[in-house]
Amino acid sequence: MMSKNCNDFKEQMAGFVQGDLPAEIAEHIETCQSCRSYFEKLREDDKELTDFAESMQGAVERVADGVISSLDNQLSEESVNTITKGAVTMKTLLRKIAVAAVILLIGTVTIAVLHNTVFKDSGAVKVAEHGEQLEEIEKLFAAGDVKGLIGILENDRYSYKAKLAAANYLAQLGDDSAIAALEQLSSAEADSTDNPFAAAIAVISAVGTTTTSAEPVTESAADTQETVVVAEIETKSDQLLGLLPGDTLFCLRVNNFDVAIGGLDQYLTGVSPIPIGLSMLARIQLAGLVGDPALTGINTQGNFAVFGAAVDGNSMADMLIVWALPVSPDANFATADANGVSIVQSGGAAKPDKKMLATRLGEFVFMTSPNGYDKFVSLRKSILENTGSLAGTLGDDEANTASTEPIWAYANIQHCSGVFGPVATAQLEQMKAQLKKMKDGPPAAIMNFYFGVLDIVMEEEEFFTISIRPQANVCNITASTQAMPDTPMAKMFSTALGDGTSNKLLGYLDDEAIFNVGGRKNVAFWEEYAMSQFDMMSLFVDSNISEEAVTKMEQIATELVASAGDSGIVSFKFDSDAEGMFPFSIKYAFEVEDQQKWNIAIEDAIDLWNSGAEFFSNIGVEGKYEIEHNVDSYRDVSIDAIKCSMKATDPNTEFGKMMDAMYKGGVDYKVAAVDGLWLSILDSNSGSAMYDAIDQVKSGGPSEIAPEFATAMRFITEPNSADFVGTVNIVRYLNMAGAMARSMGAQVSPNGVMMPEIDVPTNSNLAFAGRVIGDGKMSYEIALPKEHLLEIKALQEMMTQKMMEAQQQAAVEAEAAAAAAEANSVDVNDVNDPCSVVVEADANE
Amino acid sequence: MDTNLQENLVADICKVDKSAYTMLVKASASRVFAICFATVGNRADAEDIAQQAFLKGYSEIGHLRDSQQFEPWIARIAKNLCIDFLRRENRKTNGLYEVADGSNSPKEYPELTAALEKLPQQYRVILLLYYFDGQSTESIAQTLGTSRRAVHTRISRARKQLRQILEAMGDV
Repeated sequence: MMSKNCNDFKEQMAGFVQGDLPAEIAEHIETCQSCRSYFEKLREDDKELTDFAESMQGAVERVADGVISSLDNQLSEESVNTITKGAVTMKTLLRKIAVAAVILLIGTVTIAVLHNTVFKDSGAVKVAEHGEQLEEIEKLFAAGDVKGLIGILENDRYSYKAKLAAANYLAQLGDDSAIAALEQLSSAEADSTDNPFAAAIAVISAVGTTTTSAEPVTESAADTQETVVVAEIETKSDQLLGLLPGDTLFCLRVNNFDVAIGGLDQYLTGVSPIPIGLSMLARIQLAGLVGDPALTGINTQGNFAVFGAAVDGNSMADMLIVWALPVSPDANFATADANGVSIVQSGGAAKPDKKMLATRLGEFVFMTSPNGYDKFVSLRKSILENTGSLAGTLGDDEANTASTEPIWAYANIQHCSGVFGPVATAQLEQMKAQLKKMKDGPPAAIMNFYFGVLDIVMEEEEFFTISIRPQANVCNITASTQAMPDTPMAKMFSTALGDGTSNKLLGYLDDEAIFNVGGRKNVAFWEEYAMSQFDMMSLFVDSNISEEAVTKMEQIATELVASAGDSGIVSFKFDSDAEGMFPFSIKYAFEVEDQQKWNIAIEDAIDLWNSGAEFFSNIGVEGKYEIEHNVDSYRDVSIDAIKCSMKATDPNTEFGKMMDAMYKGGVDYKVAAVDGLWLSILDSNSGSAMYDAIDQVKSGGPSEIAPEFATAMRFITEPNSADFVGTVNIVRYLNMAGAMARSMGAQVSPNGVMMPEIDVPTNSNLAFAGRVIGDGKMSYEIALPKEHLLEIKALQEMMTQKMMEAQQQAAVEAEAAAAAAEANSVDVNDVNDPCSVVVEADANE
Repeated sequence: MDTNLQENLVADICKVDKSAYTMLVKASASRVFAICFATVGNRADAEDIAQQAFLKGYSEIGHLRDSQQFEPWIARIAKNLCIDFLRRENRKTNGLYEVADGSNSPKEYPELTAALEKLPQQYRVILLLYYFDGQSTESIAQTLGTSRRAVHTRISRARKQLRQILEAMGDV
């Protein structure tokens, strides 16, 4: 272990600014002027921060006073309301009235105007009486009493607000017998531009003329507006993206419905367990939405979307889920009301009462559920006013992806966090509390880790997209993350490699691997990634690891990143023939710029690992690493050995069995530095494997990439420019899991049948790649060849068949054993057996 | 804040007792303000947002079933409001000097506030929480829903980085 220098002491001091220094540091600063001065500065900073915080106490008090004052005001209001029916009833009623007022004032009414209407009868009606009137109106509406509600409109005893409420309910009931009474009230406000009774008449008229797509289009103010919008939008390359609001919460988009869903069908043919095609299922869903199995007027070769948006607010109650369906240019559409909104039947003949709100925007019809009328109108208005579209939020590259990929999904994490935050956080905190109370629940450290990851995502990620491109032989899935500015995640994704070079070590990856990966050095990414891992670790290990150890880990990570070269690879294989030995083969190859620095970091890491014995024993492992230098030599290359003893503290537990089955007591890595490469190989015969690797390096490196890996990379977009690329073979992974389970004696069926030996041939791999785009963006791509899905399916079918055979065999054997036992029992013990009596009788004769 | 007291207060609020909520506000104001101030970097805005957070918390408190989780819950609401604010304003955190009035102005601490401004947000939040709220790692751990060890580690790192920034600014 290296001795501590001033930097090591300084690293630790910040943790002891307010308490007693550990003896070791205290002794050091007695003799070291530089460290003493540094520590004094830290204490001065601490004092200044304390004073600064105290100077801000006035602001803290103002926050508390402001909130208390606002709450007091609310208290006074509610205390008046409770005179009649109590706060809860009144609150509900007022909310309904508020909704009613908004519906009535659609299109022409602003919040200010609403405020004015409320003033019209201020003082005319006492609050208590007012509450009674509203309650009466609510009862009439609940009973569907149209005549009673009309009576309210005609009776001067009722307040203006009561009449507003009655008008709203009549609008919702859609009965045109109310029009005459509404016209009376409307005429009294003929001069007003925000006549709520006229709006109610318009709503009733719209409901009364509700039709399906057979209804001819009529010219209205809304239609005129629509024409303008179409003209504006068509100048953009993607009309749908231009129509979606800039603050869309989430969206699923299918481009060219027929082709995209057809492509998915083609890809899943022979693989999907569902006999019916996806395109058929999707059409059934669509028919349910528009109420027409023939999808008349719907352009199924157009682009479809379903999206969520928070309208006129930022809570879940403000959320609207909207379908955007492309319609044929010549399609007729139901008559729109003054706000450009129609009420259309959507359930078809099966559900004639099911209705949706719809509005036509450009080449699309937007549809939503009927109870979101006011918000739908607001949404339409904001789109018409072009207050910002999703195309602008996404930026050019992502907008292009959204327009061109067959299936594309989007979630704005920050908007979602704002809208769903209070409810989601409350539920998460509740879940945490419940998990803590569970006796056999996961340890607190693991929970902290998962919730910590979730916190980082919620705080640092701006939006997330996934695009899916199904083809006949492969499905590509690309996920992209855009980080919030000024966050560690943004720093991690700050710089694209973009140097035009590729990973030079991919040729060292082996075929027949379970997992192969090659990565390149992106300093900003790896440094920030390492730090985030240590942050996570501090959540995970809590008190089981010292501050000093965490600091040391950070130093080691920094040194490794600094001394590493451009490229590196890791190859992981399972060796089923390695009887009695570690059954895995792992190969690491890294380019190294500063071999000495790298070696010191590796040795420090081993020291640190060994010093963490207490932590590892807490998770049930006894592990120790030892390094031996110059254990072998080949072609003038010195070979070291890193011996790792690894066993479970309790070999009788399931975890203990798994550990011992995996590690067989310990493993032995061979390590060598050759011509700027650091090689580390773990193999059942790592001596010869290391010789092979040294031969490869000495001969100038592999001349070509292994065929399996090269084939997999053909499905990845521009693999050479990626930060990392790799393959995973799920068939081999499952074969390995089965072999490991068998070696541990695990029973996998309720009948106690051992996991059967399966060895399905496999030639294909799932391929993946990740690349930092820069400016806080990162993308990950997965290519899943159909061939690999078919191999997994074959494995699953073979396993099911073998399990059934084994179960049947076990049943036959059990039956035979039972019969044999019964036979034995008859021969020897059953004295009442009639046959034996006969035998005895014969014998007597 | 005493856990039992907090639990009782939240329970009272669920019974529409607003006076109980005011006690929670008083107990949590410094923490919520610290989060807002560290995130938006401006005292006047931080005051407004902290108030909004408590009012939003009051209207949504029915969703909170485990009363012990009030602290992390209200902290999350405040954080989300800050993020909304920054997005609306289309700016990063800046302007720690920008205050509405002259009293107790951070102008009295020019080097410190300039250094805090340069500190990564995650460290600024933890540091201000610590100093604004009685310097208790346990209370911060509860507010952030994390472990004391994690809080201690982050405060140490924040102090180190703050010192580096101050030294780079010439305060050697």
